[in-house]
Amino acid sequence: MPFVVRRLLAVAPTVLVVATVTFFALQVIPGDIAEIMLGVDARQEDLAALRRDLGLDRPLALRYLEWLGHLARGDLGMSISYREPVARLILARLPVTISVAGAAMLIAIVVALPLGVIAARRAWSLVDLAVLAGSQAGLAVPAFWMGILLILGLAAALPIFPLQGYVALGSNPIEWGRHLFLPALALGTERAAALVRLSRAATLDELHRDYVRTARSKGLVEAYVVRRHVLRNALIPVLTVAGLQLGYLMGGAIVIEQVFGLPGLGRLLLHGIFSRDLLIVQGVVITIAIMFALLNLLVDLLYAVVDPRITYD
Amino acid sequence: MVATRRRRYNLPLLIGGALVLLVAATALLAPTLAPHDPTEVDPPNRLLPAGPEHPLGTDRLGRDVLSRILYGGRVAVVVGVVAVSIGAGAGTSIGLLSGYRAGRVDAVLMRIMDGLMAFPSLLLAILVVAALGPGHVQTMIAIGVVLIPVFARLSRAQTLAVRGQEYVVAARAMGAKDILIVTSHILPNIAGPLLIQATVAFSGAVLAEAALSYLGLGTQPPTPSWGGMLLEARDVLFVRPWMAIWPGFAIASTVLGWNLMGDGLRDLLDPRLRQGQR
Amino acid sequence: MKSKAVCDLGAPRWAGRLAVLVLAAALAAAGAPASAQPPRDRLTFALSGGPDTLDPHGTAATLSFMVMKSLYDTLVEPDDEGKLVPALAESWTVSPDGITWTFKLRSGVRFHHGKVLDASDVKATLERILDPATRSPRRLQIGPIRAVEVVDPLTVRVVLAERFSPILAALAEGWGAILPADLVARKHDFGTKPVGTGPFTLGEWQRDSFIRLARFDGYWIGGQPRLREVFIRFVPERAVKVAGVLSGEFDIVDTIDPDDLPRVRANPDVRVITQLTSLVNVVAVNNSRGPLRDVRVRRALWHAIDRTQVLRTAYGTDSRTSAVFMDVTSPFWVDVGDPYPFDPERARRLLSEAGHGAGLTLDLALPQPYQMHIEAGQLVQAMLARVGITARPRVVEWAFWLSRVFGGGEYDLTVIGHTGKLDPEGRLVGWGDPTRNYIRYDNQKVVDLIHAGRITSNPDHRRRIYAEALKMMTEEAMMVILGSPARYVATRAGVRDFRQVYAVDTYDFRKTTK
Repeated sequence: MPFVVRRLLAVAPTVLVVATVTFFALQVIPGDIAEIMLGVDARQEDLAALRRDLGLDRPLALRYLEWLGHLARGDLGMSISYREPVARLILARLPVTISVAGAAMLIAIVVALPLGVIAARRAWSLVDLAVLAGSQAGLAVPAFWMGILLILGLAAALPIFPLQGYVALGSNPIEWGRHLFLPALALGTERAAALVRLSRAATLDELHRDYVRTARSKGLVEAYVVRRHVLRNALIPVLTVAGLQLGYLMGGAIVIEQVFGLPGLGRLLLHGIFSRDLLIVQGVVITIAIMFALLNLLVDLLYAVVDPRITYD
Repeated sequence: MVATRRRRYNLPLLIGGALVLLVAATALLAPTLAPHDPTEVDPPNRLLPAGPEHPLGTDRLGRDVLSRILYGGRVAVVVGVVAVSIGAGAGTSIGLLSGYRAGRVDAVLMRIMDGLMAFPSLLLAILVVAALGPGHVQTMIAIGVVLIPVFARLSRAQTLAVRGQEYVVAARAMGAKDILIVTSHILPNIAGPLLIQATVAFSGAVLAEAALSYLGLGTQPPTPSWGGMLLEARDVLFVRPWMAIWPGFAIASTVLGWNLMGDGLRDLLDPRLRQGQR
Repeated sequence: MKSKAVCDLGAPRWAGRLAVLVLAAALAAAGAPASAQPPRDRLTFALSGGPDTLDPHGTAATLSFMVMKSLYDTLVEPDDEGKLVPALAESWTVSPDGITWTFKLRSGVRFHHGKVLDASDVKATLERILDPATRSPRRLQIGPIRAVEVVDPLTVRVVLAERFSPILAALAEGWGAILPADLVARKHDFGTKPVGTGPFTLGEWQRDSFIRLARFDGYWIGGQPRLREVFIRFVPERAVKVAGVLSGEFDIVDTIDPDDLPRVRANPDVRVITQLTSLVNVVAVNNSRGPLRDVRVRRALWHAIDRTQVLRTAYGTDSRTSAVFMDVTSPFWVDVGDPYPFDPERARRLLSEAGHGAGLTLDLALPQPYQMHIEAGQLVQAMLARVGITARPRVVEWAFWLSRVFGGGEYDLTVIGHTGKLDPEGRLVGWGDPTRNYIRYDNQKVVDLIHAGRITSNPDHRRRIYAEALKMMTEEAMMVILGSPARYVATRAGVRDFRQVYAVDTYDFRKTTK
């Protein structure tokens, strides 16, 4: 079986286990959606009628099997509170979360790669120490606090950036960028701090290899050597980690969406949790698990492209 | 391997250790250091700016912000210690068992760990808290669960590496019990990397607790927690911006301290591992 | 310039290019005009949250009805005093036995898709609410309807199974919105594609982000609505709402924080509208728990709590204290003065009379994420401590609160706000019957009075009946009633005729101009 297919198949059982555990774990928590929908002043007869209408009074096992059956056909079910198919709700939000995570990663790479190389080339100089100190600071600052600071310092002071909200790329690209910039910066800073250390270390490693010494001794222009050989090899670990972190950024996006009021997957997930709309929670969990697995796969494949020594079979 | 210039002092360890000590000391001495009871409300004196009576001002209920930050340190330290203990304890046990036994046990255990790692860690923590209900204890458990696979994988890899070492083989040949071999021969030899991982995990736990509390899922009021204080500060963000700055500053200092200490330990214990991987 | 330096130092060329690109994009974005001044017939309204669905029969959420008020109409609607006035129904009569209600519909009313309103729409709508397959959370609240009959195209008759005076009020609530019969028959998805007779049609809706309402030119009130577009943005952050109305990004913002008032009032371009809500906020007391069964202890709680201070600190200085379980603005409210004034000494005396002179420990459940209730609870905790009552606060998630505290009665004390209802029946039903109210308040006389109110149609008689019930509840100090909180809404100075229908807690943009 080809490697890719095998990897994809390996994802399925994990997702199933996770989905099952989520399903049952969420059933035991107190409160159900009928209570949430009716809120304070709910009368018992209203609650009973609504539970019956929603099918919440049916046995748990039955509901689980039913959901599993739908899932097998790629159907994530209907949200009770939103009265819309869960798949449609997720599809509407996926672009937001991916935009934020992707833009954050872009910012992180663009900032971290050059800085890491500069720092490595002048190891233990003042510049390097400044970069290292900066990265330590960046790692220590929680992304959501960074977001609050950006709102306080930038958005409130300058009318350039909106305080919150989101505009779809399709409807207005400039507005999209304007609304995305601060959340992506908040989320990207932390990742940049992690990547800068990595790209510095990787470059340092390469700079001390024999081939670089040889190239230097042959009188090749140093910048050329660095660009041609060192970076190519140093890029491998950086890209790998960046790819892996893209998955983690999806997690970080959940909190950032909350800070900047972005209509992404994280807001949907929290709505699902707080309003006990469990099909939403399960749908989002499965979506993120699949995306996470695909990302990891992509990283592995990318790894093979960058480093010809690696093959999968 | 890279031969970087050896530094005479392990600067990260010194600075990190100092910061960690500072946070631990303030958390421990919070009752003596704090000028007020962190949960004592005083409505007439709400939202006061910084002044002699309240060095960092008061919050919406008139509680002293400085006192709440000092006591918030206790929450952070307790969450860190408990969560890392859960994660390291369970994770290392699983990893040791998995690496030492190998075979089917290994396959099953690692499958489960893969399942836990199939999510961004924050999402997993949110799900665990959702299932257990929001709260201080639940948060510690949730973060601990997230840390289990991290420690399991690390200790398994390390166990596999030392399993074939002569002293282990020799002990086994001499008929030593498995449990004895694991605890007295393998564990001490893999303790270094685990210790480094624990310091990094500690800062991760502090960050995670802050994020969960900010989402309203973590430590609940009136217990002062830094993430919770940031949540409370949101409504008065432009009225009292400092309320949103000091707790974040406390989080960042604590995390910085533990990260630096982790780096320093790495240099000290395992010179082969270059700093930077995270 | 920065990228050049990077290249010289040996960074990959593409990285440099990327950096330039990103920088350029950021600058382009930054340089873009911060949204040009919007036209005068387009109004931006910041609301704390979005609707869950736009199907009026699919939700009980206030936020949803706040939006749906502009999309749909009801047969009758409340005016500013809470009195029911004609809307889609021009007039109505009720049979002497109170069983048959006949509504005369307005002629010439059009739905958004062109259909003209007639009696069949009313029939289809009411039957849709009553159909369990619709899964309406308000299925039973619409009343004991036995049949809906079309008399002629503009006359519809609603026949009840028993006398039910609150039916008119029920039809005036958001969930009584009239839908077109043809689309109901086709199982149209009103949730995302609403079609009603309302002043606006749905333009665009992005969940958790915004909703755009466009003027419906065929609206039945000539010359309304005056605005071409209402752009509703969902902004949960109060700080952001305030910043937005100060900068002019928002024309109207709902519920601003009392702490922001000085800043907002200082801006001459912004007006603050202060209004009492129809909420009644209370410190609920579980009447079935140990010492709280004793009326002396419950009265001691009243004396121990400075209700005015709790109300004003946690919910805003313009809130109004009340001692009965009815919103101050309701025609059914009665003034009973201050029967249990703030007096810690008296509280202590009552407690020792009841045998708790040595102190008392109570559980205090507080619902997350309702920051104001949590704050009020912490104030209450501090006040109770002064009379020797140790209240242990326990912050619980909303779903947990509804299930265990409200549903299961697992608490001693809790702080909550009760939403207003057009008819007192909605607020009072179940009180007095310990199995049907969450404070386990037990008083058969109150049950009887509330039942009498339900089947009495004379408004004056009803008022007297409910007043007696309310006084009895306060007399027994069933729970500590704080009062009605104020709500602050800010608008830009140019905004005119923005109407808040406090009786059903919604907003009306029909006459609004800016």
